Amino acid sequence: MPDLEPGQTHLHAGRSVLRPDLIEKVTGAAQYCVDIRRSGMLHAKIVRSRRAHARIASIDTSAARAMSGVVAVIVASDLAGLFARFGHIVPDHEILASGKVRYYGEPVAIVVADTEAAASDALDYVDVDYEDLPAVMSAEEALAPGAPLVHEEQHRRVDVDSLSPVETGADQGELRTSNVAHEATLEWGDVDSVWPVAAAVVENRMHYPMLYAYAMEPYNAVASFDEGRLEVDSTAQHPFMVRDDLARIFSLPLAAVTVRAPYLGGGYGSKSYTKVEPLAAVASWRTGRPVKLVLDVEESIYTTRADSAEVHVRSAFDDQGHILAREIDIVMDSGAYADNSPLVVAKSVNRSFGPYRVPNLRVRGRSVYTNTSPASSYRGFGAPQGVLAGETNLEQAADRLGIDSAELRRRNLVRPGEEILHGKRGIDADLPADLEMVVGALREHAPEDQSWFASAMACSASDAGAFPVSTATVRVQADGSVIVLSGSTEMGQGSRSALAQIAAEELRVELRVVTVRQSDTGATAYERTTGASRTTTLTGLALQRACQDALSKLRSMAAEVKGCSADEIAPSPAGFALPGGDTISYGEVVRSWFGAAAGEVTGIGLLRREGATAKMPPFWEIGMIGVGCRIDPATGAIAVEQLVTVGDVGFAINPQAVEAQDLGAATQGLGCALFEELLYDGPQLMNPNIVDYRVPRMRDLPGRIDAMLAERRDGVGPYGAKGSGEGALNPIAAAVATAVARVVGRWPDRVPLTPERVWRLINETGPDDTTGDRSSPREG
Amino acid sequence: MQVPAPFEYERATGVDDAIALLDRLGSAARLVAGGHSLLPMMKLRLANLEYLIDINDLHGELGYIEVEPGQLRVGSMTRHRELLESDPLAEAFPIFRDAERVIADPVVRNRGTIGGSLCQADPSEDLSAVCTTLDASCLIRGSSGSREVTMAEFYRGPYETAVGDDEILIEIRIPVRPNGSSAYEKVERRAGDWAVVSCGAAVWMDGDVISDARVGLAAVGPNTTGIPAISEALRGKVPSEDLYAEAGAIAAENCTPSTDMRGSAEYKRHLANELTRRALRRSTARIHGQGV
Repeated sequence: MPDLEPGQTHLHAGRSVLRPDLIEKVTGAAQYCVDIRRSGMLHAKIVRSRRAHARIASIDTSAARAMSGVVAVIVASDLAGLFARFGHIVPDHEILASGKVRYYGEPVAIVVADTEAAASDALDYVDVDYEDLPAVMSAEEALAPGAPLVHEEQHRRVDVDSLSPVETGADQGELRTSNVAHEATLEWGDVDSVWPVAAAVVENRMHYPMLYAYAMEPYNAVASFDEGRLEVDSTAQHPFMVRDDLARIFSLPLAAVTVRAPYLGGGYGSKSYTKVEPLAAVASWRTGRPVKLVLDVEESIYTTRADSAEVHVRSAFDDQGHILAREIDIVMDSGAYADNSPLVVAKSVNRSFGPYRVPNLRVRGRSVYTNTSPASSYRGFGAPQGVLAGETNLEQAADRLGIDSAELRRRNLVRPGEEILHGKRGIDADLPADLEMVVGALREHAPEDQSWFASAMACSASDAGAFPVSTATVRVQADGSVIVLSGSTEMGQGSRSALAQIAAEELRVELRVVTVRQSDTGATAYERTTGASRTTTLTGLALQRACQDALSKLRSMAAEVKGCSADEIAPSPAGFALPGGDTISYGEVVRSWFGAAAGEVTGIGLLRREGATAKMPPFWEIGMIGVGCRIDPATGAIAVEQLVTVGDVGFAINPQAVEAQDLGAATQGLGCALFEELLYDGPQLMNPNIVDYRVPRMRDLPGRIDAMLAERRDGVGPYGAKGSGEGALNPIAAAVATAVARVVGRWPDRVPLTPERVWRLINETGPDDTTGDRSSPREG
Repeated sequence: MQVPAPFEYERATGVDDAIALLDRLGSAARLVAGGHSLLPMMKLRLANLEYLIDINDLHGELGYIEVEPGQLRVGSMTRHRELLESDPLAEAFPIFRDAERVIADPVVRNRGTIGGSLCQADPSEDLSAVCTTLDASCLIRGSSGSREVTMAEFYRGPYETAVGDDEILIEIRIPVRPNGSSAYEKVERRAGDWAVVSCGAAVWMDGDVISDARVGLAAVGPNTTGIPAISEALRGKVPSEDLYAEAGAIAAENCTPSTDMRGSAEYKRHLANELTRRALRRSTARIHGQGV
């Protein structure tokens, strides 16, 4: 066990320990869902819509069914008797399209065959006859008067704040009159009274692109339906929520459905909630055999993307630069199904106006159905869309007012404890101090050559952590080793080592004796989601409680076997100190109490909205970013030379992991700022592959990276910790856009800032006619 | 997961064996070297073939860089990484190292070959632009013998070359002339991407004047394009910014870019101009010992 050095308060927490999953992942030994095989397993491939919006006139599966190796071809009518839809907020998502298709790429039929190759070969032999319907391919088209409706029927929705459940089967609602899937508003004060009296009113509009999260492992699942029980292994960030959707589809008790999520090859929000599991499950239900379904990247891109957004911001300031009012309008293109977009737009509303004192505020957000692929959670969760417009608006105000933008932020940032959202938790961070860290690092490492170079910063605060429902179990074994059970999914973020560190810390045992098992709804503890940067904070708190529960039981058992009072027993490493100076290890306690070299002691930890986690949000996740960008004026190419991140995480349980999360989030954000954008050309995407959709590579990383941590022990989580992993993404596009504007003297109205867009900004040659305006014809 | 249509796999043991296999299997067969273009095309079922002939065992025979008097020969199975790391090659033609530094990533460079790059005949391919710039020729062999073709003859259109169904590209031959140097410039949308536009230049001097100069552009036409008008305009002139500008203007006029996701035709034309100037400027600077 490591010794405490002067100034250290913890044995394990706060150390950059080696991740337990590191070696097996680097060597390729780690088992991912895609590696799972079951005996008698069949393979499924999906017949997908080749129309954006069309009535399905008929489906002829006979030719496909006659092909060698094909076991079944399943269409919507084969699902009679099931609740054949899913969706945790609005159950609008049909497992297989019935009646009509709503986007190109929508599953229409499942081909199940002996081999993946046989299933692939049969896809083209399923003959679907469509009757085209007028499509709405953008939010603007979808909101136009008289626009065709993507959904005719209004399904009963869950209240996104209370998360009350959807009742089975009882959601046949009234007819819809518009394509607005969800509207969220936030208002206080009286913005309209401010505009006439303000010293400056600054208005801007920004377009945030459609993005794909590009987890390296595409969506996949293996399902086995047998005798009224369903077992699914899948790439699910939230296996318990997927279980709930599956149980509703088949009218099964929750306990009869098991969902397991092994290591995930990346999630970034894209694997939140139910995706391919119902397809694999109904295929197994129909064939009576285990069925494996693995999507390719193109299918994954058509399965879930991030909401694109048009955001309009208007802000009023007094002559000293104090914000008087902000009015923000957010329109998100959420695609054909709601998925989690109603919550994304609600969070975007909360996160769009920044961690500033805004005495008068009016924000409206709308999530709009279109005939494009469905959008849902994406790292940052509504924040990046709003922050891009909100922060560039503030920078433009600084220009207008003649005040340095860092100074403008100093005058408006909320102070520690101050409320951002009325009635919610005050901010548990010191933003002015974080700001000085960024300003200092940018100044200290500014390059000598300042030609065509500018640095810029941006910040954000997200009401993070999600609804606090977490549980954890620890099982202390007869040899004193420890099993931690958690329903939080390891998807690369390092929760396995963070949870092991917390358990070792609480139980005072060596890290190597702790094993963490995660994400099996039949075996591990319940966890509502693995999202909103919650695991370290909320699962961590539940785990601390589980450890204290186990310690309390062990202490009583030690008192019983040693014939003393529990009060006389004191903590000692991996056991207890007894009256008289002897010690007893946990293993000895277990063995002595059971009277055999056997047994175990279980500790349970439960967390809900009470006490420290009564106030929402459980914590605020801070984004505080600086960038230095150099532009090649003749080509428009941007080189990001400097990156500064501040991880305001309260306390870093594993500092190296936190810095890596910040760097990962910032890099993913740079992808959006510089490269990434899904583009529709008519009914289908032009670039649904990773050759044409460009995510950053190692060589795109900034030359100088300053990853700093701000540890002020101001979070509600273990040892003062708060969540991490999304904050650094949220403001980075705004920082890059600002740096570009400072260099070229003109403000961009969208990202990504491709070389051509920057070149056009420099030369003022009007809008980019290739990748920006959707209406123009294209070649190639 | 994407699954290719069924195919048979053969592994050639040598050049003669590969040619014999091609002879026997004909147009139903395709050679695979690095596989970075062919395998994705097969998975997407854009390439549907009956036989795949793996020629990776030919690396011993065809993986070489030989500098000879008046000529440099590169075997078609020479991998990107070997081109990147070869000092004799960088000394003779720095354009190769310039280009290899911006081709894809280490994993691709470890497997991909110059022969595969040229035979794919992608209009945006960097080594094609390099070979066009350097006035290379290609040695092609089939059962009826060998023939040598110029780069202009080698390319027949996008993704089409002079290599017949029963033939294999053996070697790339590049003339070596004194008092010259070369450079490569590329604008890409992210690191290791296909070029928006890229441009190679090679310049030879006779005293103060340019004795010959060549420019090769990628991604602005059906194939990588050499522009003879630039050579004509530069020969016998003293290098200057005005001269580079003139060459850039000729490049912009003489290319045929199309608007696509990588950029508009207008922007690509602008880049052809700008990158031509840069590549010529750098080539000339290198002749004068300015290591840029």
